[in-house]
Amino acid sequence: MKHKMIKSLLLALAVLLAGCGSDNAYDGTELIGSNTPTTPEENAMLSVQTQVFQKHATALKQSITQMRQSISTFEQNLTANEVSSLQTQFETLMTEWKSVEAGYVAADYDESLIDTPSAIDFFHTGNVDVAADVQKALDQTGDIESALFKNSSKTITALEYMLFGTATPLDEMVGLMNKDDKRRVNACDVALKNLEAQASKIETFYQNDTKFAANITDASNALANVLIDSSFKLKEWRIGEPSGIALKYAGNPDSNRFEYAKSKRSLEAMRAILLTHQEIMGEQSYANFGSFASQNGAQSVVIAIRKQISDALALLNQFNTPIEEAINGTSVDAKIDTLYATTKELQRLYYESLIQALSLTAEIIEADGD
Amino acid sequence: MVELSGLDFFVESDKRIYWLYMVSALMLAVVIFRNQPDILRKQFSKEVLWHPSARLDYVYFVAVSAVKVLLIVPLLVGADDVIVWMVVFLQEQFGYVERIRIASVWLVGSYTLLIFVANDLTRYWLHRWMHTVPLLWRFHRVHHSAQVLNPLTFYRVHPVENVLFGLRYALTAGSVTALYIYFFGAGISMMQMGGANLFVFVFSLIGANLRHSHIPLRYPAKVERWILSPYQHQLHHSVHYGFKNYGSALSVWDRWFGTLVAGKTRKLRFGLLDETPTHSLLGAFLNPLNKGIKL
Repeated sequence: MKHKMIKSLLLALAVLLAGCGSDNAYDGTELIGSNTPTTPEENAMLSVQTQVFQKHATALKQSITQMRQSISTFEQNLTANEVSSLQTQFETLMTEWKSVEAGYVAADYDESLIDTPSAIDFFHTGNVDVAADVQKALDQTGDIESALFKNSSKTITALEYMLFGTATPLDEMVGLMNKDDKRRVNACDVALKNLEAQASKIETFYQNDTKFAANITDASNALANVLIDSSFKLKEWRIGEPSGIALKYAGNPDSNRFEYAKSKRSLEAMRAILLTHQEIMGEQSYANFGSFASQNGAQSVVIAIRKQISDALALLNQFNTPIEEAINGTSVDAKIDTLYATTKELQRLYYESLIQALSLTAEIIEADGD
Repeated sequence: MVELSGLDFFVESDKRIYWLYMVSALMLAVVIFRNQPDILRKQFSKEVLWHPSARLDYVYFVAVSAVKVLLIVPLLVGADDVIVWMVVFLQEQFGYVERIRIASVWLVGSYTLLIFVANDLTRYWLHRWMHTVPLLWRFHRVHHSAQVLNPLTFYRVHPVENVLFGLRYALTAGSVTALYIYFFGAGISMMQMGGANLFVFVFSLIGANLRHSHIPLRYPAKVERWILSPYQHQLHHSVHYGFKNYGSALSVWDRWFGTLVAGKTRKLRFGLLDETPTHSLLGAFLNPLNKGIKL
């Protein structure tokens, strides 16, 4: 009798729920399952973002290949012009990497690509002294490829030390490059070979991937994550820590903490990152994530994000000398404070847009008592 | 206008009196108590539905809905603000953590469950403080002054209490969400049924609206150790057990913190022992603010 009652009750509830139709559909499937883009705007946005990522991955690989080709042509001792040219090529390679890194969604779709960035770049990762390791390898006499056995010794960070020393003047660098039968130049090629292999993996992924453009929710999440990550690292690691604004080094500025202090190219790295943010979020002639978010209710926050990106880029343009020189002992140029505040606001706005998109404000069952 | 009157509450699934939850409560009552017609008859009698206390509930529901829309919601700190502030705080204080990548089903499922449990726990404690802190009790007694119960009694809550519960919600949902964003990044979301948290939906469907009623629906004893039955909440509204069963959905908090009571079903008397009830809207709003004056 009791079971009969429970059964009839459950049946009645089931009928009631079924009768409610879509009003009570289980929305969870939409959230955790496939969410294929359906509108032209969604498809356009995903297609454009894929092209942007592909473009930067290809440019990165090309810049590495080009640099290797330059190195392969050096038969005699390098001239100052040739060393300078390599340094310029380094800047191109490094900024292309920053562009790839700032929009790196590949790890969300291919687990084998999670560690690839750390095989390319060694910033804020552990306590390894890359310069000391590279110098040790250069001081040895055996095969340079074997001497550079550590992965970190074949990264862009290592390459920077090989090409610039510790912000060593050009004429001194020419001597160092030609020393020991151009051992340093050969070391550069070993690092570039590793970088080429890593860049190839990323390029191949973006050329062949179909998953990113297949699920609008996952793609939006991946883009939001990468922008938030990138804005945090820009603000905290790349600006806050060297300038002593970040809590970790509060009141203790040190220009050596800049990402590319040895080459004095940290400002160019920051610019490349912000330009990628602008490609993804900024007002462009094509449909990007920013315009997509704007059309989906985040218009005011997208406008604010665009302004912060433009402001930060404008601030970078105000530096007439490398940003490393804006820190002198404990004295820090006020523009760095403003830059930190601008990127902090940028990161906050990214969070705001993310939270808006997630509609997390839906109350659990009102805010009342009981 | 609809929002001001609170009528939209009947069609929104994150509201206690959503029509489906009301119908399911009625169905449960009819099926389970079909052999005890007196119980059903009493709930729908003029004596209960048109009692001065019930009439105050109806007027109060409309008035407090307007107060919430016009005064409380625009001024209250939202969960959004808490989330942004807390995520940035976590990153600045504890540094950057590499995002943990887990399958969406686990991420969404655990988030939905955790936000439900955390919300229930903070409701328990704030509700308990509303009873045990004299200043807060002055406001909460408005709710307990109801001498007869109906689903709208749920909304017979002083605006000050609304503000406190609103802040509690913002802090709870904001903190849980911020922690999830800090560790897992974007991609979190709630499993929902018709727009409400899945667990809230289920809880609301199994008779939440009978909590404020004279229908003593009980769950099996083992279930009542985990989920508070409508009858257990009715005990809380009785003149003798006001300091027991503070929980909302889960009874584990009452069990762990020593305030759970069940026992045999008995006839209950609702309201307050120590005062003559006020059935005026003005009195309900102003008496807690003017302790010595009765309107």
